[in-house]
Amino acid sequence: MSTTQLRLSAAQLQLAGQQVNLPELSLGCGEILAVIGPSGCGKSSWLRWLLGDQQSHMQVNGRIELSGTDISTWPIEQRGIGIVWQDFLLVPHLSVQENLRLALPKALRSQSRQAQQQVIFERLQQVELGDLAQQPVTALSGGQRARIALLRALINEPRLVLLDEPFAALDSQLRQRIRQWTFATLAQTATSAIIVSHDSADFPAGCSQLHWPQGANYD
Amino acid sequence: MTSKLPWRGAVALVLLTAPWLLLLSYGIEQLTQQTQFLSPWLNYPGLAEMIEQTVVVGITVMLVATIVVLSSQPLRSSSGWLVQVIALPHLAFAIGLLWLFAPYGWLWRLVPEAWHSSVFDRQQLLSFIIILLAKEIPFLWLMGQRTLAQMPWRRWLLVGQSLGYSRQRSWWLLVMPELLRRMRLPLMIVLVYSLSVVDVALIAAAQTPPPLAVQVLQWQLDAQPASQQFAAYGALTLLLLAVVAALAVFLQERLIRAVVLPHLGNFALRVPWQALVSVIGLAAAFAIAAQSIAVGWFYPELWPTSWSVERWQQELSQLLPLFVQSAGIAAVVASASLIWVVLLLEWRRRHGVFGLSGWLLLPLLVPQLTLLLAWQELFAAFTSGGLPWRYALALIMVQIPFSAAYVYLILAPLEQRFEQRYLTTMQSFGYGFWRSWWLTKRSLLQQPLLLAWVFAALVSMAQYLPIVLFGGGRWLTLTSELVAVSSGANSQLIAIYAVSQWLLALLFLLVLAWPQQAVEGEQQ
Repeated sequence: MSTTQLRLSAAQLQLAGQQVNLPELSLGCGEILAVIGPSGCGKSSWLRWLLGDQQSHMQVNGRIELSGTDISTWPIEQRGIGIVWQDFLLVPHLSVQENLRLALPKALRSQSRQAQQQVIFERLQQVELGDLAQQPVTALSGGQRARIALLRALINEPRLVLLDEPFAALDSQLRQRIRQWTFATLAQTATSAIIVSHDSADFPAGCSQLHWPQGANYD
Repeated sequence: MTSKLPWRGAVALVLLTAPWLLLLSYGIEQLTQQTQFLSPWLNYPGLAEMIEQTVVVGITVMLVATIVVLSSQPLRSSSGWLVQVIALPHLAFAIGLLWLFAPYGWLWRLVPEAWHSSVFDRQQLLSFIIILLAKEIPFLWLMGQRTLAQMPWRRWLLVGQSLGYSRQRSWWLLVMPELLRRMRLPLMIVLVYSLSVVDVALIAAAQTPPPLAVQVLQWQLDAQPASQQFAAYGALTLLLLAVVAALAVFLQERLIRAVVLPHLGNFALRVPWQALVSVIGLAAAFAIAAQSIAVGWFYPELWPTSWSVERWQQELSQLLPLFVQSAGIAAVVASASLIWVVLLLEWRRRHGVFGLSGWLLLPLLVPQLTLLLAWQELFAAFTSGGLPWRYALALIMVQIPFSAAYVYLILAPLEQRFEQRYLTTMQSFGYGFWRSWWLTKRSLLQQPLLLAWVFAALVSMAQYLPIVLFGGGRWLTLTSELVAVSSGANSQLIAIYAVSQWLLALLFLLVLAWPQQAVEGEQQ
């Protein structure tokens, strides 16, 4: 599609005494990589390692290159990688607008409150959620939370977004709609993404797929 | 009570205490006969009585507090009022209580002369025990509530009921064994505190001879080398008693689980605790407030000859600096304790370190006097120049472990449940770790953080021994002055200092009125 955005050297995972070897991976700008594997095999921990949050129960070794720069040892806040969790983790005592304001890119944080609100409102309008700006996030439905969580990750303009089972908390009807909306939004913003799921129906057609290596005892 | 305690349960309760007391009396007798090198100390007049008194107080407080706390309703109700009860400065409360109920006290004057009794008298074992119970039971309720909050006990009760047991019986059989296990630490803290408390003992306990901790302090403050040696032996004995206390808690737990719980049936203490505790607390506060402005309040008059704030005006020049100094020391100690515990908790998260609780709670599990005497040796060189700021620094540093322990007790269970991915998410937006902490964790845990700070400040404000041993006479607080004036006979002056201490505690409580932001339901 375009220039390589993410390159992962062969990574090794040590989890509960088992070793998992991952193949070398690369991802172009705006491309989506789907990772599928059973629950508990270490996919989410691997995702958190990519984010820069090494889990104490799992050792991961490998090299991460983003836009040609080795970021393997960088702290989370410098990597430019966003994440959407399965349970969304919107800050519960804040409104939709305040949640999004927290995620504004650094350049916008020094601007006036009015300018920030303008950006937030425009982004909400683009995804037809403008009327939710003042709502407390606790008042949102599951589907609305899912969309605000993705919007919050994207408003930060990350170079890569990690989606950790982002549709697992939704019922089947809603799941299909939010899935379509998510991939359309990612395509619209040309954001590269890695999506992890144990359900292959969650992946967009034609995306690269990584089947989590077999051979490890996942129990 | 709605039902009587079955007789087998009552017998078991008696059995719980008897072996300890018998063993102890026998042990002290044997020790005094056989250990020659300690003979000057072991032959000190009244030593055995001091130790016996100390142990009787500790075991009685632990046992009664356990029974009352675990069998009463406040354990399963809201904790808002409890925080305010615990916030009562215990010295001021003790003084108020004695002024109300002790012989020649205010309420005592209302009782017909034929019914007069000196069971609850100043400087008497029973009064000391009752005052300690009044202080420790609300603390145990609060700790019990926090422990229960981490257990799915309502579901356990449903399981019990679905098996055909009553709700109360399910409580004893399914919830209580686990609750008892998890309450070991708070019970040990209560027991060790009761064994080694000095300030309340100086006001309420018998002084001929006094409890061991009081005598150890007196030995330490005596400049004679022999006395200081005695103080060291006494401090080690207190430490030994704390070890025995840990065993006593284990033994009590095993006996209650094996012998008492199966026979409790539908027994429950249905006492209106909230009303009772609130009324007694308010009455004690009102009593000392009245006494602080009373002139010529002689027995058996129900009211003084006149009211006047003149004594307050005279004392104001002394009180104000003390008030500010006490508030300042408490605020610094509370802030430092809170920061220290937050740093340690985050460090534990990052490095997956276990065993932090043991170290942080150690100051509550070791008699305070024993620790402070050891630290006094460490700080001797630091404070030897006599510079006031060095005393202040030492004073603050030695208080931090005690306040930090309470901060940890309050904060750690909630921090452990906190969803740390909030921070990770904020970091992914480009914020540094501590900025992310401030934006999410601080605001989501605002109420427990404030509560921990207030507790730390109240603990610091109530400290007596650190002021006496590390203040070098240069740094005094309302608490140290309250104990000092309590040894005199001027009851109005005592009341003025007690009310001032109460006012300072109220001032700290106002911090809790800060607007609440956290939505706990959203935490993991």
